[in-house]
Amino acid sequence: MGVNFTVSNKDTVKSSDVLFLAVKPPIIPFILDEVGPDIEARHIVVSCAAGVTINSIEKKLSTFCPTPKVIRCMTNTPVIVREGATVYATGTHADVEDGKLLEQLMASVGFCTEVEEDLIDAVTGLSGSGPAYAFTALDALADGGVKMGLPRRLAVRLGAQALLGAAKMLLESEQHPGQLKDNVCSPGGATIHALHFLESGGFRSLLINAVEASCIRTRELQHLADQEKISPAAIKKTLLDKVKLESPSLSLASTSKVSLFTSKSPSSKKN
Amino acid sequence: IVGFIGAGQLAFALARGFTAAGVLAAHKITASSPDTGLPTVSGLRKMGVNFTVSNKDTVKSSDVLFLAVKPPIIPFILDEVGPDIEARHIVVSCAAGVTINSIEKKLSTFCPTPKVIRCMTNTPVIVREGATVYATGTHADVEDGKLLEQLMASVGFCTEVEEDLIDAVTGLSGSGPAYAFTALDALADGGVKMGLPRRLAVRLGAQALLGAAKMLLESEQHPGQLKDNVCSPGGATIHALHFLESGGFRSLLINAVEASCIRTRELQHLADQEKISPAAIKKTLLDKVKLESPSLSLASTSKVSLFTSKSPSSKKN
Repeated sequence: MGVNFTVSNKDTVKSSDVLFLAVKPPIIPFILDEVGPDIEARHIVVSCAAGVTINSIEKKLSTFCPTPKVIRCMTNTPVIVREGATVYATGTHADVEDGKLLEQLMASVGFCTEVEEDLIDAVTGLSGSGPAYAFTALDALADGGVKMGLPRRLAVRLGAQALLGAAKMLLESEQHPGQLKDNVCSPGGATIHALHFLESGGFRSLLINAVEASCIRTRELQHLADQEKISPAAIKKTLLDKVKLESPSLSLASTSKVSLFTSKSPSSKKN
Repeated sequence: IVGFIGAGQLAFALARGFTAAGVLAAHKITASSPDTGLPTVSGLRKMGVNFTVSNKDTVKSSDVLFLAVKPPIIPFILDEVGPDIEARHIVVSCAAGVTINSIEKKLSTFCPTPKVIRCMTNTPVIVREGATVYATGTHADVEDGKLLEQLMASVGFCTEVEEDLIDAVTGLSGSGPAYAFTALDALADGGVKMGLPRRLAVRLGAQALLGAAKMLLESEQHPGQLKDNVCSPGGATIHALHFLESGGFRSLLINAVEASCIRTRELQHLADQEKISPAAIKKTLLDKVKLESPSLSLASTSKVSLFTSKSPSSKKN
């Protein structure tokens, strides 16, 4: 792609104005300790880590820099095809223009809007985890098509196209999703017969449960992170060693074992 | 060049899609319906489409003729315009469950080798992200199929299939948007429950589904692999997925596809067996059609409620 790659986090900080922290949440404190000294007034630090609060980042950075500009954002995997869903909240010292700059960047890869920080966990449950619900649904729809005689590839293709088209219709319509649903259910027709099966099985409730569960788990992991120091046992030893080399001042006081939340952002490993 | 018998949701959605795609100028499209009060009629006129109350005029000015009416109306239309069908015409039926054989049989009393193509599309053609399949009839050439494919590909995905797959496609992508709208309503409810304002919740849910579907379409990977990739160990997403699985989420969707497909076949079977009862057709519509078709046969008195279309010709606000 032509991106400059380096093993030195400090080099990245030095050559950046907008600095994305794109590591798993447990690593964030280590990174902040490591690069904190190099953060200057011009830097906009953007954390994409699920459940990591602006407050926790500002606290860590303030030992190095009096007014660090911090923005917290939650995005999702489809940024890769430029159809992501992103929200962000600005920290104490980030200006309106800083937020707008990030918004411009993120809007180039999908939908982006500013929110109050207290909504971000709910967004995690909905659009952060949302693609996983969709992939599960698409697998099942394809199974349905195959059961009724379609070849697998065609079934996958048609299912995905149907979901994509419907989502686009909703985004471009002023109408309620229920109205759009009504519009495609002819009296006595095939579609309303199908919908009855969804309703009988509590289809809607399962999705509400999912959004809720993801949101609650995000808050849970954030709470754990706020309470306890990170145990080195939770971090891969090789990674920790490399970070320690850069950060002699690192504090590893606690021995309590806490398994911290991991990120649902695109920093999760991909094939 | 392109004509629509019927000026309802399906004709409107396709005309809008074709013109937006630039593949066809509006003035080269004709649409006809005896019902000038349909909300889509004014929409078509505003688009610059030629609107007429005469189906015969549409046939005369078309090469590709879409039958965009509800399935019970198809036989009446075929009787009415049959005499005007010529060798050049490609008759494209978008009616769910109506077989190529039934259309060819009706037309063959007028024209020895009618070119018939059967297609199944869906509502999102209106935003040019439709899903369409088609099957060619006995006398339709490869080029005829390709011509239709070019048109339909301008408003979404389009591919040729064997006719026996079309009912399954109806169950999957024909009805699919309804499953999606239901899911999107529920996802938004979930977001609102956890504190999001409604508009934002609707927006984020729709964007998440759209993005995921696009990822799958552009990826060689299995949907299960894509799902794995977003489920971090001990994370929020896998916790959420457990709820879906516990509730048999996947099974509900398989049930839905199956039910829609089975109902389509059921309605087709009923249509094949019995003559249409005038009681099943709106009287005003029937009267208008009868005015044009003195030869119409209304012999049977058996009451059969025929399948209705799941295509975009269903009424919209």
